[in-house]
This record gives sequence, C-alpha cells and structure tokens, in this order.
Amino acid sequence: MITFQRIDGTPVYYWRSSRGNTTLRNWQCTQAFYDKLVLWVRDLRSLSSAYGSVTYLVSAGFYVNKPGQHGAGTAMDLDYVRWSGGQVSSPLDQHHASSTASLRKRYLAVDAVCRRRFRYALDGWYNSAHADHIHSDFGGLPVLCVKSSESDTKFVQAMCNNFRGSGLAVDGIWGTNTQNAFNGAKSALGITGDPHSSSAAWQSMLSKIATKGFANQTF
Amino acid sequence: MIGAAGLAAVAAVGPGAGLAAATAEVDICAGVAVVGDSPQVLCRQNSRWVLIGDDGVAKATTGLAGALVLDVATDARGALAAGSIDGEAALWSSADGLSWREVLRLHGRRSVFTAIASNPSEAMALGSDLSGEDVPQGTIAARRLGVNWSLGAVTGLAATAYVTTLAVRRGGWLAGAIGSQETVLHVSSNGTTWSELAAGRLDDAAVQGVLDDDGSVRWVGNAIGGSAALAGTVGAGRGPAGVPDRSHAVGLVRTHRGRVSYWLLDGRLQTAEVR
Repeated sequence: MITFQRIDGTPVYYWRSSRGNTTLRNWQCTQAFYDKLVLWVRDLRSLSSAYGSVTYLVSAGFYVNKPGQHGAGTAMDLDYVRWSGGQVSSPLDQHHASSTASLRKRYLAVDAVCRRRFRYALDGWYNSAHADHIHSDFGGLPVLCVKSSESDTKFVQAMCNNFRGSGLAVDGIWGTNTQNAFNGAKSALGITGDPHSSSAAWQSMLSKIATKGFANQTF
Repeated sequence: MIGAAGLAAVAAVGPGAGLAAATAEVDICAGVAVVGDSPQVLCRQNSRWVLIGDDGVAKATTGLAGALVLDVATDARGALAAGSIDGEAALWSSADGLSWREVLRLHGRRSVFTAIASNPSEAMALGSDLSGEDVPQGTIAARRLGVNWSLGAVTGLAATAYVTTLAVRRGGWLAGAIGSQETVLHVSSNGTTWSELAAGRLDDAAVQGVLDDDGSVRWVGNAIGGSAALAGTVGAGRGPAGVPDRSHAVGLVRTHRGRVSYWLLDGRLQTAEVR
C-alpha cells in the first residue's frame, strides 16, 4: 500500500464527518490502483476542460479495512468533484436523482469517466447503498459493456433515459428495449466497433457520453 | 493504549518453508484467536496460510489451500475460520490451528462468511450473499449447536453492510457491520434478532475487533477517511491505537497479558495493549 493525499496533484478531502472540511487525509491504496487513479483524473480533467481545472475531489474511502476491493486497497468511493469554474458534481447529494437535468447529465459524465478505467462502477442507480457515492474498483476488468452486468445495464438505461429520453425502466435487465436504445445511442455518437467485446469501443463511447454530459447536451 | 511491540521477524517453518523465508512478509491476516493458551494469528504468506504465534514463528497450515479466510475465532474445540473458497462462503474448524477441515460450504451461492465467534455451547458465523459485482446484498448466518452447522435467517443487520467482527458478550452476541461511512455495532440475545447497541454508531471507523467486558465495549479498527489506526471504547471516545498510523487492524483478544490488539504494518505484525 502507498499513502497519498492528492491524486496527481488534486487534493482529496473527506466530508462524511464534517462537510466542507479541507484537512488532507492520509489515504491508502495499492500502487497499481493509484496509477489507475492518475489516469482517471487525467481523463476527468481532459473531458471536462470547459469547466476549468479540477479543484478538489471528495472521497468516502479508498483502502477501507473490510472485505472486498476496499480491503485490498483497490477501490474508490467518490463523493464530490469541484471545478475551478464553480461547477460541481455531487454523488453525495444524490445528483443522479436531481430534478435538474444538467446535474443528472453531469453525474452520468463523471460516472462514464469512472467506467473508462474501472469495470465495476457502482452508482446511484445500482442500489440504495450507492445512492450517495460512485464506487469504482479493480473487479471484472477489462472495461467492457457487459449485458449480464446489473451495474453496466443500469448505467446504459439511465444514460439512454437522460440523454435520449428513452423511457426505459432502470432495472438492470438487458432486454429488447434496452438493446434498441443502446443501438440508437451508439449510432448517434458515431461509435464503430462493439462495446461488448472491445474495450477501445466502449471507452470511446464513454468519452463521448462524458463530453455530452459535461456540455449538458442531448444526443 | 500502550505497549506497542513489533513481533519478531516472521520465521517460516513447516513443509517447504526453509530458513530462507525467515524474514518473509505476510500480505493479509484473517484474524487472531487464542488457540490452546496463546494468541495465534492466521495470515497469508506467499499464497499459503500460516499460523503466527507471539514468538513470530510462522507455521504452515493444511486444509486452507485456495481459501480466502477473513476471520478466525477461539473455539472450545480449537479454532474456527470463516471466509470463502471459489467464491462460495465456507467455514473451517481446527483442533490446533494448523490442520483445518472444511465444515460448511454454500455450494453454488456467490457468498462469503466474514465473521465468526463461539461460546461454550454454540458457534455462529455471519456473512453476505454477493451481487455480480461482489458487493453485499443480503446477510447470511450459520449456527453450530452440537456438532452440525446449519443456515438460519437473521433480522436487524443491514443487507448491504459487511459484518467484520463478531464476539460473545454476556447473554448473547456483539457484531460490527461496516457501511460506507461507519461501523454500526449490533447486539443480539439469540443470534437471530439483532438491534443497534446504544452509542454503537462509530462514525468514520472500520472496526475489526471488539471485546465486551461486562458492558464496556472496546474496539480497534481504522478510519474510513484516511485509514488511521484507531482504538476506542463505545460511549467513551477513541484515539490513536498505539501503533504506527498506517497499521491495519487485525483483531482484538483477551490474553494472559490483558487485552491485546493485533495490527499488520508493511507485512509485519504489531501488537498493542488496549486498556
């Protein structure tokens, strides 16, 4: 395990005990996971560059002394992102369920950026335990869009609803309606290749979803 | 909290483990249990489970190949272990802590046992059914009354939290369940119906060991926001655990030396007395 306070220079705070606290914490994770976090935050900066720089991140934990990926030091719970332009995305405030469409799109953009680097990204649609953070870990790699995955399917359904008004039930079941909506989104974004079998195709699709989400655009 | 002491360099003995491995580090530790008269820590070293006593000597075990062990407990018949194998929850027992045999396995069920404890008349293990993404989605419980283990239902424990510690208390059981921002301590008189312990919500703490001394509940664990090593008493605060801050809590046992907490730091075991 390594200890860090910032990811590639961006400070990471902890707000669960005191919202707004800017005391730096000594987080831990494996070197391999930290290296992936660096790639992730660089993706985030690049895809949201119109917001300015990422001023700080807020997390609910990386290494946590419990079973599973957190206990292995290969997971992140993301609570909040703040940009220098003043924009925020707050899983902590359940922005996935916000009545403001732009906040939901921005949440999906951050979600998509997580999925570019981490296969198991568990968000507010996944279950109630993840209503207030986005969990990302090393499980299930490589990154692909897997139809049998509840997490991937719910993300696709929520994405199609929020960007394309697909009106899907977000139930994690990949049926005909979800397939048709996914095909429409893929076509609208100009994705070539198969996101179910090609990591590059899925990462390309996620980048375009993120770009649209940060720009508050439908497609 | 006083008395932090590094154990002697872990020396490996047993089949296939020569002196060349005398300073080998361990990567994870399942927990600590008093086996016979002394505390023993079950740890994984080079993909093998070893038992480490207070002398720092690591002894090879048998019967745990391929297992992920997450907790161990003192038992009137020796020791018990809880975890999973091939993604299926499993329990093991051992008379000496070295030779283990599987006593329960939930075949075909994506699950894991995460905590185990026993009193003179019975033993209990708690764990979780896991989703396709390996997160808890339901509590599982197994009891041993007499010889055989059987599954049973429990109520009052959050389905999405990992139960990481289980202990015997006067008149029942004490369990700690970790969510995304706290550990919630629960008590039960019958092992089936659980309720929150008063003042038992431990914010920003992932608890890995508890001891109940006639209602005074000591605990050890790590912060969730930053993972600092912590020790505390329910209702009476918390503080540094008496070990380096980066240490990971392994467990807490009562020994002839008093209450002793066990920690893992950079592959080495550390101990600290808990007052």
